[in-house]
Amino acid sequence: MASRRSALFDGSNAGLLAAVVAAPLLGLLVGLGPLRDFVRRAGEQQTVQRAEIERILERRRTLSPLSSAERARVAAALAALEAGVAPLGARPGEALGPSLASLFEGAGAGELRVTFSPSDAVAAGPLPLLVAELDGSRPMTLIPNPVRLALTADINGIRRALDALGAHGHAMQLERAELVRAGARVEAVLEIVYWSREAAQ
Amino acid sequence: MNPRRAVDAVLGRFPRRTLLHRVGADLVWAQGPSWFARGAALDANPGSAAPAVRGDREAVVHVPEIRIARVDLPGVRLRDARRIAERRCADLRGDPPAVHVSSLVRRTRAGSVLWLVSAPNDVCLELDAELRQRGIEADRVLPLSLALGALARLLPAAEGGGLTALLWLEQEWSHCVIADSEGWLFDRQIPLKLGFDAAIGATPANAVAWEEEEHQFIEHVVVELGRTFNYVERNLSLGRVANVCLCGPLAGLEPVEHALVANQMLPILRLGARPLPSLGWAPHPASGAALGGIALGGSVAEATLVPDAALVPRLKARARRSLLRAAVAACALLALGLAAAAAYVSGISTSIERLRAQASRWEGERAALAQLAGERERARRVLDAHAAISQPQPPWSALLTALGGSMPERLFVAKLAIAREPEGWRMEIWLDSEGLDEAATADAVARLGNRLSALPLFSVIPSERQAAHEPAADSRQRIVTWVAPAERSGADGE
Repeated sequence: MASRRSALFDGSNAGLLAAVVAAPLLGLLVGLGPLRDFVRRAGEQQTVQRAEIERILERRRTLSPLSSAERARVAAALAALEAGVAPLGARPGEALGPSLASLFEGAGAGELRVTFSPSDAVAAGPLPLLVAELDGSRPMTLIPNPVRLALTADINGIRRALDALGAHGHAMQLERAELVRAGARVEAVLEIVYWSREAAQ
Repeated sequence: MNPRRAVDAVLGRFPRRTLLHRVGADLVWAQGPSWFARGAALDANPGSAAPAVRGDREAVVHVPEIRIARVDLPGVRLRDARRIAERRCADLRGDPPAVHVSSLVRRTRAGSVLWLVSAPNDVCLELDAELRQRGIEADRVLPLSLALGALARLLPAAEGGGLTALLWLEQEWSHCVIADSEGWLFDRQIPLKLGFDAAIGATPANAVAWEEEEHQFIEHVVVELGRTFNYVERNLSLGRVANVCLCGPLAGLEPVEHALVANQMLPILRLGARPLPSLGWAPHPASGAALGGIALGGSVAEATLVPDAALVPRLKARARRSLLRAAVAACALLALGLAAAAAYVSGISTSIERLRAQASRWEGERAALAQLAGERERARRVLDAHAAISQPQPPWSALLTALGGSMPERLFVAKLAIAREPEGWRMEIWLDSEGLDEAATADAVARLGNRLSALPLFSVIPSERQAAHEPAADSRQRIVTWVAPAERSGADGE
């Protein structure tokens, strides 16, 4: 009885049996790994593509073209900026100091001292602004140049100096001022920002 | 359900085609799957051109030298019963082996039952050679007695748990098998033989002689059956016979049946009554039932009379065929799996390509959107820069003039600080007095605050709010105010 049973699986059938069992397993092992990777990558690609399309559709819903009135307003603002803000060149301090001194002296302010501070020395000051045409052409950087003025004058002299500052235009803006009475005169310290422009890279 | 219909229902459960062969004086049934056996013919003549039966072949034979023994093993598990069977087989074979011994073990409700089948080696070799000569290379050869015993398991149970007698009637010999619900118990070859070469019920030339022959035959059957039953019940004490089943390839068994009913008063079952020549290749009900016994009788290696020398190569070939089929099926399955995987991958690729095409259609849209977003961003920067730079300054000269004009008598400005805040320009005014006591100074400061509040250029912050948010650095009186008309509404919200 035992010999009959073992004859089923003796050496003559072992190779075939191994082939029967091994062939599908080998096929599965060989084919399953790349297939799984492919399916995973394909799923990720599908997700990315769908998300991209969703994002485009969302942006299309939220973005509308600029109207002609908006375009005109932007063009006018840009022109005003170009007209009101002058270029100061590579050394703004050298150009600005005498200009301001003559401005305030012309207004009648006496005992004037002008100090030019580099922009990075004024932490709380405004940041440079980058503007351009709507199509990106003619880019320019608007640079805030901090200037400190110390002057001593009577109150009328101070008023004239402030009037001169206001009359100069939008490019010069008062940031901070401190006026201290010293007898009949007033000691004033003015911190202003003088905007200049230069072409951006 | 009457017994006949019950037997027919049993026969209908066997899906295999049955082929009937005559080997000398014996009948041999060979069965194979209907798929392979389709078209094979009944082979009654040695050397005929009938195609050999393919597939798994099992045959039932009757050889007088076969011995069967049954051992009931109550409470013994199947595994232990197999060990017992191996031991018994080894004992019976002897050394050197002169007898072919095979066993069949079946689990029962009470435990296990073991049948031992033995026959001389030379008989088994002759039998196998004769079968092969007729194109039957049998995987298993089962004794007819054991097959009929297994057939008894399919029949309706006898009332009261009695035994079943299966009477197999042939022209040359007859056989009676006594079985219980588990199978073979006892068998006896009965010397019943028709005296002429015709089936019972046929019309002979000499009607008187025929009638006498038939009468003697039936009487003989009844007597021999009665003797057998008496032997089983009284001498062997196996139990009471409660059922009789008539079977065999002979036609015209009705007179026998009637006589048995009249004498034994036992329920009679009939399996098949068609004459042998009319079988064609269609399954004979009785042989089908006998082969059902084979199907219930264990594996091809059990209770078989095929010699070991012939059986092992056949089993190997059979295993090889099974393995080959499994290999083909596995390869087909693998191919199907690969095809399905390829179709799946192809579907995914198509889906990705479709998405890519869709995304490429959006490329132009994306560029237009990017341009539009860039325009909006640049417009916002220009407008923000213009708003930041062109913010109007307060009229400083007018403010100082208004402040000077609003000063109460003996009160003067000691210090004035202006700072640009995100909300607007903030002015702090420190005041001193000359010749005023503290209360009068406070009163004068309050008056100045009221006067400034009345002017549109100033938005004085109440002193209690100012004190809560920003305490004064020194003890001097102080007024804090916003000084940008454009920022007045924003300052109010502080």
